Amino acid sequence: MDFCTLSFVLFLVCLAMIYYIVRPAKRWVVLLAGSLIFFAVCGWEYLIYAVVLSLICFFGAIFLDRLGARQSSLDKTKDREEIQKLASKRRKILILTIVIVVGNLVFHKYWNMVGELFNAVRLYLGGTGEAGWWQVALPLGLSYYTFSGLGYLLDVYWKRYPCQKNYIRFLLYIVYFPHIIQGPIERYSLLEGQFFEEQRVRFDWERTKQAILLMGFGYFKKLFVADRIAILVNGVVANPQGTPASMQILAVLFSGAWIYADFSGYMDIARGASMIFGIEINRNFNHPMMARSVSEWWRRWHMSLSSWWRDYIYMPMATSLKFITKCANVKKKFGKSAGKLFKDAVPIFLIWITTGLWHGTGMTYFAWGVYFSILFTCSSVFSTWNRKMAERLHINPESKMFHLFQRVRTYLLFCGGRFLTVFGSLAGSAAVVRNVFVNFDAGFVFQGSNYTKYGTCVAEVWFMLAGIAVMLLADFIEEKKGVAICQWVFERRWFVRSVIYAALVVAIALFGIYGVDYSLDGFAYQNF
Amino acid sequence: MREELFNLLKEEYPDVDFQAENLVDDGIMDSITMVGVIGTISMEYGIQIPYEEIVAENFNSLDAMAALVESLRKTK
Repeated sequence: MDFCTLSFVLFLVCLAMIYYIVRPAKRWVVLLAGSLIFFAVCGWEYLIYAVVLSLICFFGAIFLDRLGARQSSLDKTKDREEIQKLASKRRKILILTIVIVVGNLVFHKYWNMVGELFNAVRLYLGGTGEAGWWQVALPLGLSYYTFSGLGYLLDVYWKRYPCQKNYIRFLLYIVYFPHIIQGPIERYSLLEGQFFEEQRVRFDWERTKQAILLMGFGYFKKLFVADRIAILVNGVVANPQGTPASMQILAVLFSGAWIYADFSGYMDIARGASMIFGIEINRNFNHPMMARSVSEWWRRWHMSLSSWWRDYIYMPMATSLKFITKCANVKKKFGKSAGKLFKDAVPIFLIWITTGLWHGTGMTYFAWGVYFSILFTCSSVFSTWNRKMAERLHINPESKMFHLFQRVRTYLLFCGGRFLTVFGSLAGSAAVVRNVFVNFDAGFVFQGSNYTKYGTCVAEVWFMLAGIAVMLLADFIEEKKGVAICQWVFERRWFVRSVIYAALVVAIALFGIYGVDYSLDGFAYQNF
Repeated sequence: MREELFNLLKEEYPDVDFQAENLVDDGIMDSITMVGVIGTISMEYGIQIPYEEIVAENFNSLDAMAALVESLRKTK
């Protein structure tokens, strides 16, 4: 069930009606039933995966919690041996659960790639035809509920909170429909209280109005901006023959805005849908276009994933005794600077390469990970040098012009990462680089008739630019005023509000990209 | 202890204002710097900071970091 279909809107309305008819204490049961129906409509086989995975995480956490409680009840000086035994048992249970849960994700993400490799090797050795490798489909939302479940397990292991004793309640956390397709990856501690808090789940008209407007913004970003840009970007990528480099670079620049509109549009719809039920989920984007450095960009982009990676992989690894001992050895052997570089760069490289491999299989995403690792390491290593350089050039780092320069530079660096992946392969990206020297043709992008080759036209490009401008304006207002855009709209006079509502409805209904000629491709991040 | 810690960290991260309060909460110290700070402290004082102790309140100020180092050195 796609978020951009009438059936989803009807589903949401019906579920909300039933939700508020049922007494508050039992409303979470309606949410669970609705989420299971949503899942089943998307594909009942996906539901089996989610249920099995949730059972593994649930029982894993129960064991960890029980052993942890027994450990805490013992005397630290008298029962040292017993405490160590329990700690080792807990570690074993945690590792076993992680191996099963992560192994399942790795299997689904890489099995087909292994098949392709196998076929390539077979053909190289003189084999003929297809080997008939068993293909597996990636279950809906697998990455997202795998990360949610893993985060919960690790939090229980670190004794951050006690485990949930009721499986049915835990299942709701895993399958909750607004976050199942492409996140955000919610922390259990954040959602648990909301699902079962009676005060929160009472009907609130003000909140519902805000939720509907937020969903409206989401649909605008998706149907007016993202899907419109997708036509141009896909058209350029599909027609490399005769396309000059200027057009390919323009497509890369647009693709950055496309992925932002698509992903943050989904988040607005998901947050709005969840808000109708009184449940606040993570916003996941905090105006990344306002970021002045790459590290700031990633603190504002897909925040639930980056914070998950930071809290459950990066920090435990980079602060572990083993790693710190290695850093100390490097420092002793090669000097202070080498020790600092090792300490800063190694975890960054490991994290970015694994993030890249999570995004996609193959060399393009590996290169994407290496690209951002280099950017992060450089920004960390050269921060002092950059400051001194700005002083020497008499640049005021707090001036508005310099901030604008930093924002544009950050967006271009982000698009550098898009450049590595948007053409589907490194060979495709390399062909574009070659094209820059062979066939750049800057004038091509200014001739309106050239756009028809890519399934669009000049008027559509103006619509894209207008859509991006509206998104940026909304981000700017939120950033500067410090209020949510919906709240800002509600605070306007009735006339301004009416114009905004009407413009939103017209933009989505009359100028949105949907209808018989178009097929809904879903959201960019839903197959992760 | 506080002064010693300040000199140590300032040398490694000259751009970070370690005298500020709410270093983590206000984003003055990002996760990369925080990891670097943990590594520097661990190497300098020969202590292991348990993962449960790596929370914002223990790194929000020099005083909090100094208190953490002191307590870990005692239990070493």
